[in-house]
Amino acid sequence: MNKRDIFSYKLIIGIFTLILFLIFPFFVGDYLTQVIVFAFITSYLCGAWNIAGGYGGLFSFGHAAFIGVGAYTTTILLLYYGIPGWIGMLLGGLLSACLGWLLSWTICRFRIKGFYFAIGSMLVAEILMAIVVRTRYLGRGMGITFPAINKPFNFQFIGIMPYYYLALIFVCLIILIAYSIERSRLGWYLRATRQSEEASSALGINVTRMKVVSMTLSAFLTGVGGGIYVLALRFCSPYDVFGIMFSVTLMLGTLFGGRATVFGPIVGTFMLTAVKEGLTFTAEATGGVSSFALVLVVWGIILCLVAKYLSKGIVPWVTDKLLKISPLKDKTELM
Amino acid sequence: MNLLEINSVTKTFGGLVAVNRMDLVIEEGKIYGLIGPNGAGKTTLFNIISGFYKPESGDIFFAGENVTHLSSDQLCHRGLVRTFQIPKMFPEMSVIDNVLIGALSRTKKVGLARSEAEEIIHFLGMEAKKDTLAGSLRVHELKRLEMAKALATKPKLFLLDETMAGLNAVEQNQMIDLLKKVHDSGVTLFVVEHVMHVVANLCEHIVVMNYGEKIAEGRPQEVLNNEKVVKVYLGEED
Repeated sequence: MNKRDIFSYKLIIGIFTLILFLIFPFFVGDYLTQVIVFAFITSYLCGAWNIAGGYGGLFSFGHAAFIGVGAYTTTILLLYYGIPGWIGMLLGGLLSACLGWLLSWTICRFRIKGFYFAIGSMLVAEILMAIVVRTRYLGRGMGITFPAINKPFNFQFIGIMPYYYLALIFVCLIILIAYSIERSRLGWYLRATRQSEEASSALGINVTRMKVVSMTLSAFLTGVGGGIYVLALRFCSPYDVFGIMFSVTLMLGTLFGGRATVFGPIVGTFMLTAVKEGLTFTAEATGGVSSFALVLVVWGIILCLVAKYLSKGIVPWVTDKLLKISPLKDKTELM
Repeated sequence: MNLLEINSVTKTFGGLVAVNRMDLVIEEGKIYGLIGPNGAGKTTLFNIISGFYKPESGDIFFAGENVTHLSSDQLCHRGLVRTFQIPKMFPEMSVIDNVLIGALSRTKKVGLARSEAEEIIHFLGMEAKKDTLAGSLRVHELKRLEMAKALATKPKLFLLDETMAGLNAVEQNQMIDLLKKVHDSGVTLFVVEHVMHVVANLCEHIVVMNYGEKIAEGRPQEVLNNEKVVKVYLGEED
């Protein structure tokens, strides 16, 4: 097998997978399609988290802040001012990017690292949630519900199918973005900064700029994702979009699948979604158990097991196994 | 031409004066050595020159430019790079990728940087370990990697902090040959070193520090026979 063979294999697998997902909703019911839509959106958001948290090593526990800002910007602009959803999403992304820039600049200025950054970022999301819950203009704790109308230009659709393809495009987009970052100087510099700030600095890397760039980019993409999330859900609730559960989901999905990899966030999210849906189904079938609590418990167990036995995540683990059976020595060719 | 000029640089940590009104001139093309007992302020001086610490007073000129307030990454782009006493590598990357990071300081093109990294690896004779993860290297290999990364940035002035520490006699001799090879390629070297025979063998000019101050400087034979220097290392006669 040479490089070109490997590339064409990857291309064939990629196209095959894409076709599979393109025709998938025609063979399953609305419920499963809906599940996949939110798995897509979560995958995209995990991919966005991965840019700062995976490649850049900025372990954010508060990406819900960016989701929330994107979600509320989209909602308010669309429902109060009639501005199309896609514009709202982009503006929400920009607003998130500003917040991300401010956050990363602050942590660099005051040298907040590791644990303290995780807690600090979590608090940002919580504070924003507290503000929204107390603001009448933003619908308080009740949230804001979208009317069911069909206005494609606004990104408002009846039925789940259009959202399915929209979300699929988002997933393809984040794959392309991650892929090009990984191969660029930015990607190498981000990984270097994560592994040793001092060595990076000595070799000409502006560590502060790397942190700010990765966080701002990640925040922008996350904000846009927050917009598509509320449009697909047709409901914007502060406890949901600013909730810690969302931050945890992004982190867990990426770590489970493999951080600082292109496909890790997607694989991880789909696995977690499968676990969650399976548990919900079981809980409803047996009755009596709160499925939400069950999901939390099982996810917690998974996190512990991943940390202990699969610290790099599923994708790197599978890649290692493939490397052992393939005659190829250069690992970068397989990724 | 003076590549580096340090004028009356002072750095204190709380009440401790780590470097006290230090003056130093480094001319292009030579090998300089910095010696002194533990705690003399050698590494602090390195950290100041390479932009990791900011001095309280004094000025540093590099190639005619005042660089006192530049950060280490800016200095790297101007051709001043250092290695660390305790090697600081990117543990989850292979050896070649570690060197690649250094080479990327001069080009945005990853492919170009990779071929330059290959050249450095070849220059330092590290081909066998090219694809090994940096985190699993042994000490003498790490010391070499530390040099390779820094060399990939193509420095004019190369500061080496205790390259010989942790190496056995054979490895030390290899390292001396390597440093001479680097010097022959046109790089000015400034080394902090504890091992005296290395300093005597390698350096053309030696600076001795004690308690943050320069107590002697000059050619190796003169300095190592200097009364003050002998006192610092061996203690005073009663």
